[in-house]
Amino acid sequence: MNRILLVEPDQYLAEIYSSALQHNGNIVNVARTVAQSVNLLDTEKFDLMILELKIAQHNGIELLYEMRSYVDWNKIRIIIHSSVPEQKMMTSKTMAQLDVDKYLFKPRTTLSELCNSVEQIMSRQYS
Amino acid sequence: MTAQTYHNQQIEDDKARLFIALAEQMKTPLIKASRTAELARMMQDNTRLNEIEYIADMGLDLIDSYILSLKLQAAGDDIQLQSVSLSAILNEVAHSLQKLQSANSFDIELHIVGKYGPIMAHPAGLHAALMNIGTVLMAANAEREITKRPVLKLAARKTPRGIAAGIFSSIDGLDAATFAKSRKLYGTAAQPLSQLTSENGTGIFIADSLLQTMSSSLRVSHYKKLSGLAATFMPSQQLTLV
Repeated sequence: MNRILLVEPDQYLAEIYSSALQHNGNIVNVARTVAQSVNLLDTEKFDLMILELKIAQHNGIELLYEMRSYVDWNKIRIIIHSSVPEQKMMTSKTMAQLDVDKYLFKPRTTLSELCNSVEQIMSRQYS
Repeated sequence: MTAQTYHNQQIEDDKARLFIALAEQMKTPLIKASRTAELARMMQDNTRLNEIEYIADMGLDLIDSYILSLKLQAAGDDIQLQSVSLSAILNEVAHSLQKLQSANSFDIELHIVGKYGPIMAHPAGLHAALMNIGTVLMAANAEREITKRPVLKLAARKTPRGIAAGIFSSIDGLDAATFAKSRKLYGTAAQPLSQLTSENGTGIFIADSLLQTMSSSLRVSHYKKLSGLAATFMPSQQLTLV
């Protein structure tokens, strides 16, 4: 069972995505802000984080840099799931630097594709 | 380039930017509707159908406001401003916002301070502008860690320049400088109001465009320790003449 931190500012979408991920056998915690994410990272253990980059007040990239600066959080796998297209936000070099496993463009990613990506990344992790 | 050509070019650029912002913003309700449908199929849960309907209606309302702003702009000086009761419009908007909120998560209050007559405005345009502001502020509140139940206050009061009306909330991240910058950024930046919302806040820029056609414009304002957006209107002289 994968423990997932879903960082999604939109309350409605957070509920939809977490329902689908739970339906696929994952344990999901939701954070709507960067502060909530950091609190959850501090108090819970996660295998994977699904991150929207567009967050009010702070953006997801800041959170990624913060995460990667702590050894404890370095093993957490990352899927960026954002409504901002990949090429606008990140180069492949930055993706590699921040150890991002996958970038999914939200408008074009179905729930099944999101769940499949989680499974693929986590099975790679444990193989 | 003459001053008139420059002015016309500016108007066309603003229209194009607002259209891009609208198109970007429309992705959100479409994503919600599409994923909700997929989840309903996954869970075999037909009760989610009314959620899809609600999401689609929100998207349609935004498109309608945009179209109205274009029509009013096209009317230019021929726009039919009418003598309108501001308190009646604020009342209607408060009721409409009440219906929109999910799980009764807000306290929506109406504050009309002092007595004054009607104002000159386009009733449908004013209603749409206030609805858009309210909807963005509600969405922005929902993104925050909130310790106490949020309030959305619809208020009107007399000012030396006319009668001001606006919507206010206990939300942070809204100030005049940020708002001025966001006016230059919408249509090009993903989050022109990044301190306020993770979305692109198109409703606010459509509201601004609607209000400009009524010779008013949005500005950041404060009311009883709350921050919000307000516009000032000229009082109608109609009753005075009678």
